[in-house]
Amino acid sequence: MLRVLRQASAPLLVVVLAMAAAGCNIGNTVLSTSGLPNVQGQLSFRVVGVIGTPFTAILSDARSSWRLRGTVPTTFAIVNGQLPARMILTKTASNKNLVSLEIINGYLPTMLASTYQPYGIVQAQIGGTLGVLAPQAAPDVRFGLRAPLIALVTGNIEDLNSSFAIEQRVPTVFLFDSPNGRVDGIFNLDNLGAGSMTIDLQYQTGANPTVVCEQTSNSGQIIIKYPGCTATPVPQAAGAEAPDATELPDQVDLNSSD
Amino acid sequence: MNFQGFQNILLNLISVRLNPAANATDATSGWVNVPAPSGVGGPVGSGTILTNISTGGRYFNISNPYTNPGTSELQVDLQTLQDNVVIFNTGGVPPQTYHTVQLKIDPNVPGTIVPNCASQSPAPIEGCISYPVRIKGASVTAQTRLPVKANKLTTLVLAIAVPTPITPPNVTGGKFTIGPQISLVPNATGSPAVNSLMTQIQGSVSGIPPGQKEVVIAENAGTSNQVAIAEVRNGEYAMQVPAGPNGTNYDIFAFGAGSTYDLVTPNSPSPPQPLQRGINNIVNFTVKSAKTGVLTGVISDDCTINPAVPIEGATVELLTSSNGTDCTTVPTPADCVVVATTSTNVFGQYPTPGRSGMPQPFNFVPSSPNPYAIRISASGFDTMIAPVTSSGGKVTCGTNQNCNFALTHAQITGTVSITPGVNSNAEVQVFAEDTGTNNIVSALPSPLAIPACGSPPCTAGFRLNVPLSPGTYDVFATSIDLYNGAPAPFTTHEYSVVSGVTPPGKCEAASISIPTLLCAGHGSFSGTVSLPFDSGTTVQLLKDGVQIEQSQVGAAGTGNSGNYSFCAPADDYDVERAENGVLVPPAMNVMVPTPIPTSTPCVMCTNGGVCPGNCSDQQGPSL
Repeated sequence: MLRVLRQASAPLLVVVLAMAAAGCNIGNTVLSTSGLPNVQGQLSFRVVGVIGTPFTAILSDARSSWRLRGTVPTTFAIVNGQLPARMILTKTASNKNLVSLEIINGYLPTMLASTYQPYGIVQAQIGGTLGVLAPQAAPDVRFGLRAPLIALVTGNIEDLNSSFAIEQRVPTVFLFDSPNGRVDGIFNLDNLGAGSMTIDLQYQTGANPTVVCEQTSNSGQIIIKYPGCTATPVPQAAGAEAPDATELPDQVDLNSSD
Repeated sequence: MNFQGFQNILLNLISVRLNPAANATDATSGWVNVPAPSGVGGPVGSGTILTNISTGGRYFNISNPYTNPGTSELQVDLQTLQDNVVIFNTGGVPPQTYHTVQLKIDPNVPGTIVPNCASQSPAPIEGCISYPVRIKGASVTAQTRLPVKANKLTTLVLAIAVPTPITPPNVTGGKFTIGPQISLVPNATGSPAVNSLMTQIQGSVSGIPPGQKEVVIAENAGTSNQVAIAEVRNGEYAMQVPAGPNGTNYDIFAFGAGSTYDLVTPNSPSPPQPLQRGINNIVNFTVKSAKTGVLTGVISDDCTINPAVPIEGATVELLTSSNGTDCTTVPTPADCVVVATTSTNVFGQYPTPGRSGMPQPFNFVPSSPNPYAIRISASGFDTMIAPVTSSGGKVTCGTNQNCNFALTHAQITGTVSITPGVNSNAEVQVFAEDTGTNNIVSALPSPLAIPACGSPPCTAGFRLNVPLSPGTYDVFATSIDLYNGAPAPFTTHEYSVVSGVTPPGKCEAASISIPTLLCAGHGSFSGTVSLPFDSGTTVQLLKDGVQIEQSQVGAAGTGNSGNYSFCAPADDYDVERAENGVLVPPAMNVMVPTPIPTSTPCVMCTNGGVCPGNCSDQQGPSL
C-alpha cells in the first residue's frame, strides 16, 4: 500500500517553526492466549529525539526497577507491570540534542517530557505517585529486540502462568516484571524486507552475573527461551560470583500447552 | 513571540494534513495525512527517501498492522523553534494544489507549559513546574495555496504562533489555555522553489555501480546529526534543509554499500558555506565501485582485566575525508566527516543493526586511499581515536589491526546528603564537568536513591567515572523531585557543588564530600543580554564558581530577542554571559529569594518541617 502511494504521489517535506505573534505503543492487544485470561494493555516508555543520542535511565513500577542504557530511539516496555511506574532519564551527551520521553499506555501517549539541555534530566510517571523506586527486578529478565530501525515486531512473551501478546517497533527492550519461573518469547518480524532480527534474552538473578542468549534470524521468526538456550555470561568486574546453574529454573517446552 | 515568563511551551504534534478544498472541515473528504515519524519522534530523513517510515496511526488496526502501533508524536518546544525550523517528516501525497493545511495536536495530551514564578507576591500559582495545556478552538488550520507537482520535492514550512496573553489557570495544577495558530512560510515562485527559511542541496552522483542504492546525507557540520537523507534516482538527488539567519554549515556526503565515499565540508571550495536561506546549492559527487569490509569490535573498560568489562551504550563513529587528512588528530580537523555512527550492545560489541531502507555503513566500509578514523566515546571515559584501514575487503584498526578498544578513566567517589520527603526516597544525580566550564563529561548511571533514615539528613555514597583528561573537574549534585506527587522539571533543593577535584590517576579515585542538599523551594529570574549576540550566546548560572545551568538567548528579530531566563532553587548565584561556551566577564550576583513558607502538608520538599510556598519571579541583571 505504501509503495503504491509513493509511486502515485509527490514527496512533501514538512517543517515547523515558532514565530512572532501579535500580541505500543506496545502491543496493547488485549488478547487471550492459550486459554489464559486477558490482561490490561501494556505500558511502554519510548525514548525518542535525535537519533543516536545516548542516555541512562532507571525505570520502576510498583514492585521492580531496572537500570537501563541506550541510544535514541529505544522503547522500554514492561510486561506484567504493576502501576504506578516512573522513569528518570539522564541524557549522557553534552550537546543540545532533543531527547523526549513518552509514556504510552495501551494505544495512546499519556505523558511526554523533553530536554534539550546538555546532560539534561527528564522524568515521567503514570498511574499515581511512585515516591519510592522499587528494588531491582529479581529476576531481571529482558528481551532486547534489534533489527533495522523502526521495523515492526509482533509476538508473545510467556512464563508459566501468562502469555502476553506484544507488538512494538524496534529497537525495543521488553522488561518482564516478576516472571514465574522459566520464560520464553516468540517474535515475528513483520516487514521482512527490513532485514534480519536479533533477540538478546538477558537473565539475571541474585548475585549471579547477567547471562545473555542471542539469536539472529533472517526467516522472520525467532523463538527463544530461558533456560534452554545457549547462555553467555556478560563479563563483570573480577571477584563477582560465577553463575550457579543449579539455581536456574527447568527448561520450558514450547510445544506444551502451558 | 514573546516567551518571557515561560521556560518551555511544548506542543505534542501528531500530524500535518492537507486538503485540496478551501476551508475544509473534518467532514470534507480528500484529507491527506503526513504523520510524525513512527517510533522515532524526530525526522529520520527527508528528500525522497524513507517515506516508508511514516507509518504512524492512531488506533490498532488488525487488518493493516503496518499502521501500528498507535500514535507517533513529536514534542516541539516553541522556545527552541524560534526563528529556526525543525524537519517534521516527509510523506507521499497526491500531486495537486492544496488549499487547507491543518496541524494536528494530540487531543488527549496537547502539550505542557512550564511558567516562571509569578511576578506578584504572594504568587497565586506555583512556577517552574509542568502544567497541562488546553487548546482553544476546534482545530489549528490555515488557508493557503500549495501546489505539489509530481516527482518534485515540495517543502511545506509551517510557522506556529501562540498569541499572547496565554491564560493561566486559577489554581496550581490547572490547565493553561492557548490558541496556537499556523501560517505558511511561502516557497519561492521560481524554480527550484526554495523556501525562504531553508537551503536546497541538489546535484548528481556519478559512478554508482549498476543496481546499487545510493543516498546523499547532510549532517550538521562536525557532528553525526543527520538532518536529511536523499535517495539518488537516475543519478540525481535533491533535499532542502534548515538554514539559520546567518546560514548553516553542513557536511554532505554520498554513500552506497559498494562504492567509495565522496564528501564536501565547509572547508570545501564549493559550495560556499554556511549555506544560506533561499539558495539552491549544486553539489555533485563522484563515487566508484570498491570492495567493502566489515568494521566490528568490542569496547571495554580499561580498568578491568580478566575479564574486561564491556561498555554498553558507547558511541562509535567512523570518520574520513576526501583529501587524505588524518582524522585521528585532536581536535578533529574540519575536513573530516562522520560518515557512520553506531553504539555498543550489552557485550560492548558494535555495530548495531542499521535502519530500514539503508544498510549499516559499518558493514560496508569501502576500500579507499583516504584514511579512516574510529572515534569511541562514552560518558565518564576518555574519548579514543584510532586509525582504520579498509583494503581489499578487510578492515583493520591501529597498529595491531584489532578493532577492540579499552577506554580509560579515573574516578571520583564521595557522599551526598539530603532529607527525603514523607513516604518517598530522595533521588540525587551527580555530574562532573571540566573545571571552569559547562562541559559536562559524566553523570551517575542512575540517580542515587536515598531512603529516609533515623536522623536526617540521610547520606549515600557514589562512585563516578571521569576521563583522565583534562584531569580536574567541578562536581555538582541536584535532586530530582516530585511536586505534589508529579514529576517536576526543576529541582526544589539547592544545588551542591565541589570545585577543582583532581583524581590521582588512571583507575584511581579522588574522594569528596558534597555539602547537604537543602530544601529551598523554586525561584526564577529573567533578564536580557545586550547586542551583539547570536546563536552561540548563552547565559551561565554559577554557584560558588561552578556552572550548573545555562539559558539560551532569544534570537534577534523575534519577540524574545536577547532574553534569558532561569528556574533555579532559592540560593545565591552568579550569572555570566558566555560566547560559544567561553565566559565573558563580568559575572553578576543574583539572590533568588526563599519562598514564603506555607502550611503543611508540603507539596515539595521540607526543611525541618518548614514547607516552601509558591515562588516569586524577579528581574535578573542585564549582561
